[in-house]
Amino acid sequence: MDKNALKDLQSNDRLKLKALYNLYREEFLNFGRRYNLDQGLLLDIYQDSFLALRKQALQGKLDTIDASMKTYLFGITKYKIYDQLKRNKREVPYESNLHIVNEEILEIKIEEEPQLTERQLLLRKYLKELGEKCRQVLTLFYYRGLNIKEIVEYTNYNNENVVKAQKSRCLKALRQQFKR
Amino acid sequence: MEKEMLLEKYLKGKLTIKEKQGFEILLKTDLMFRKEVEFQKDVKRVVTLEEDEAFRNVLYDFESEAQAKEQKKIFFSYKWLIVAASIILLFVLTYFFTVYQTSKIQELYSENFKPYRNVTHPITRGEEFADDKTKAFLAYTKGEYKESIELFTKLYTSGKEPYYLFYKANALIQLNRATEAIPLLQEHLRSSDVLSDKSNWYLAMSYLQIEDIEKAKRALNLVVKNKTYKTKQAKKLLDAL
Repeated sequence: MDKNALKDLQSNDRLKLKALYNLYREEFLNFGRRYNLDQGLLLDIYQDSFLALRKQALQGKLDTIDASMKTYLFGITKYKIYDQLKRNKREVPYESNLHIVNEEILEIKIEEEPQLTERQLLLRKYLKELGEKCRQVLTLFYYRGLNIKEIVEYTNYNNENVVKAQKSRCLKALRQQFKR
Repeated sequence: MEKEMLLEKYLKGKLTIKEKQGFEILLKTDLMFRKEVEFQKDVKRVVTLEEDEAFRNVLYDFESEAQAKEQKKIFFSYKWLIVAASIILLFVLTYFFTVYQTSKIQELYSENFKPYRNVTHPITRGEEFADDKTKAFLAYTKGEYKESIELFTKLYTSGKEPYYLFYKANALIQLNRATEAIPLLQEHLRSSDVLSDKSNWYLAMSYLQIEDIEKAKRALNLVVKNKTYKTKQAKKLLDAL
């Protein structure tokens, strides 16, 4: 995958992200219209797919992918489109358009996360109450999947012990909330 | 330490087969460990959800910006379409108005213009030895204006009679050469010829032919002011213009 595009996708640079979002948007909508889905639904699919793409990029899962960013993104959208079509079929009889599909693009399945449990809802509330430092460390560790050493490189923390201590404090604070 | 490493790898989905076996055993035997796994799984889920939602909001913004841009584009193309249509309409209206005006002026012109009849040199039928003057007025009377113009030019050069200018101008107007007639009539006006009081009327006719309404009006006003020739007709024509 194009290293520069991947770097842009992993960044927090709003302009770069927006440029990437707009880069494939029009073409996706043209691609998606062949499936007889309305624009609103297609835009939802595009946003979900773009989000999934970025998440994978942030978690380092795209570093070894050979496919271009566009092919990969369209692969995700294709899976989601099919998923939507299956759902529609249940409600309305749907004449399949699948034979006109561009075969070059392979479906890429992204697992959908289940609804939050009650415990997780509570945890979410407690998490919001934690300070910005906690949120940063926890996000880097759990969302980005960075290890302690990588977090030191990514942030202003002096060494691994400080990061470790910070992370432990944050988790402890969350645990204590439950015990109250 | 070992447990912590296993948990971290588990959360990242990076456990080897062997590690996975050890992990499963721990889950079954170590209640504290199982609780910690559940807890950190929940933390991961919630942190992920928070991040996703934050980024989803960013994407919503991108989308509404993209749509606003599209709307603007559509509006602009519509706007230009309207502007273009207006310009075309204006041209079409101007064209038809001009055509209408022109035909109206031409109508007035042909209604009013008649070459001044020859009163200067009465032609006697059967004149055998016609001189240039007779030939000129004969041609003029017969409507052979081209020929009469040549002869009047020649006669004016030698004879300097101002009425030659006047008749030549009339012939020119008749041949739709009003621009050539105008200076002759102006010159004629400056002379004290008996026909001078008619020159303004024919000047007006010349201007009407070339559709110079303002100058035509000015000449007509002079005709009205003089009160000697075509006063009534000039008034009527002024009203029509």
